Amino acid sequence: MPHLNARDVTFLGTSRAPLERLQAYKQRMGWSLPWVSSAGTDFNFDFGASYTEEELKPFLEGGDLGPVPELATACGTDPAGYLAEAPVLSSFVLSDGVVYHTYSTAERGLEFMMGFYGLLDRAPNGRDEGDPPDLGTAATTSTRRSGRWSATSS
Amino acid sequence: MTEHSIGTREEWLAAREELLAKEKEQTRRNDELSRQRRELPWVRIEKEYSFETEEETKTLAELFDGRSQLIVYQFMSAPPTRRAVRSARPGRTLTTAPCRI
Repeated sequence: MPHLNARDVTFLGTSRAPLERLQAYKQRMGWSLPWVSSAGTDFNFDFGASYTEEELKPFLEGGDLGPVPELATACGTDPAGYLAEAPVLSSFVLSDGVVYHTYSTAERGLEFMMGFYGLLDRAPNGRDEGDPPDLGTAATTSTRRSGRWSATSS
Repeated sequence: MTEHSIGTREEWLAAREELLAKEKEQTRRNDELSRQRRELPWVRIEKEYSFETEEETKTLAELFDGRSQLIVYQFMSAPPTRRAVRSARPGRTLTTAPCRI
């Protein structure tokens, strides 16, 4: 974090859950990441991190959900709950008092955040997720509706 | 007996040098990609967002905390719903936990 701040960058997490839940979880996990709540705003929806039930409906009713039901169960929710939230990294700049959105990335575009992948790529057995990586095995690349976020996905 | 090819140190070195050239090429391509990433057009945020923080309610501009750049990791924690089951499985990292917590 000091390295980012020294380069004039602020880094923080946002989630839709109420702040007290985020704080409780942060404490439990021993995280130090600044984490704010966007509860009650469209922020996470507008940047593709959250989906409404209406948006998910066509996909959920579209038949084959692939590894989604299994992954959802592993997370203690159902497919609709699992798909309603996805990780996205977005960048903004503040210039003359005006905020601009400059960049967003999701899915495998977030792999750089997981330092252990870099190490696994240099281990004799690699990531051990199949070749190409199997979605269900990887489970780290969040499941997206096909055709969505092509502009921000890798 | 391993199924993987076994070689001498000399063979390894030759193959490694060949791969190193490709790794260096990839590094330079990544630099170029980062440059192009920074060239994306900026899109003005018109909407007024508000965020609950440990200190107070803040606007998006206030989240910058006096700096000119802000990176936000939006991750998966939705408000509790009837459907949600509390779950935060130990050992899962941020991006492997698309779970409601």
